[in-house]
Amino acid sequence: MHMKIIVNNKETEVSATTIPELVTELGMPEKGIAVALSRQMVPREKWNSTRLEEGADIIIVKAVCGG
Amino acid sequence: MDKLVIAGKEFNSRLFMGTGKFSSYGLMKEAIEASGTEMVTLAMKRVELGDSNDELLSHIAAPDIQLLPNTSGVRDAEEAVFAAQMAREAFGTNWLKLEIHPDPRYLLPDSVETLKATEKLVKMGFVVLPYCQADPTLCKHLEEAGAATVMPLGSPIGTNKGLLTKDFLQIIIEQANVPVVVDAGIGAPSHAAQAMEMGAAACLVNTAIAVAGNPVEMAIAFKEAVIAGRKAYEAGLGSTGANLTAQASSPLTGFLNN
Repeated sequence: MHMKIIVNNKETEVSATTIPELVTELGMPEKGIAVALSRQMVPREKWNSTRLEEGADIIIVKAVCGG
Repeated sequence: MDKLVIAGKEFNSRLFMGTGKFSSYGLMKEAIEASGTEMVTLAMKRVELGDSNDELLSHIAAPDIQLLPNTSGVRDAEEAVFAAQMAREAFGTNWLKLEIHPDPRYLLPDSVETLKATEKLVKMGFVVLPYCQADPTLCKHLEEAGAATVMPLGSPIGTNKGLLTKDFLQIIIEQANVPVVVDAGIGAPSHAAQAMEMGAAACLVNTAIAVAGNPVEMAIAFKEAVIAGRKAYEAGLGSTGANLTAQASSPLTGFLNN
């Protein structure tokens, strides 16, 4: 079952229904990232229980160099 | 040398380092080690699909290094709070370099939004180190809002112009009950030494090290300058003469003819 969600402002087709599945599906590292759903940060302990639905608006950030 | 204490945590080094603009992770890691720093700043960005998975944190994370994620890229207090929550999650720390500079041309911090965000973030349990204008009144407000330090700028970010705000930094240092970290604009070890001689608690340096011909050697130069400046401050500098008349440091009579 594929559905369309928004990841960092880009429409993306995925089969993941939870955040850990999404992270794996998109080939992202598990560490050093944070995920928000509808502009609300989702704490890691709630990743498994947060269901992704059609049209979900996801932001994923990662650590980069900076001053 | 006195130890620096921020929010109850001790630091053996008074040099904080930014990680931007290095030509490679390897060089950045070497410079961090050479500098002896125990506080490094980092940033966040939205992941792009297909980004390399070379994980930055594995090059930096060490037990004696405090990671200090920044909120660069946010335009107001509301965005800063969101970025702070994302940073706490991504970096596993509640320490935060709060920076709100909506204008990309001069990158000058927005004082009103910075104060608002500090008030909110302190209540949310963050250890907030705000990058701010060298404004003594603002720095008092930030302190009262619960900021762990204040981090006034010497000159605009990345300009290497040194302590253009020197007289205001001096007032901020005199009035502060929290450590004053001079952030931004420090372009040479002599600038860092000058800030430390004035009584700054620490200096945050990035561009001047990262873009140096030899960043590792420059990191060492900054390390030594910060130590020298701090030692001079603790030793107590002699006062500067008010006029141009020389004051002899050797006896002027009684050597050749008595």
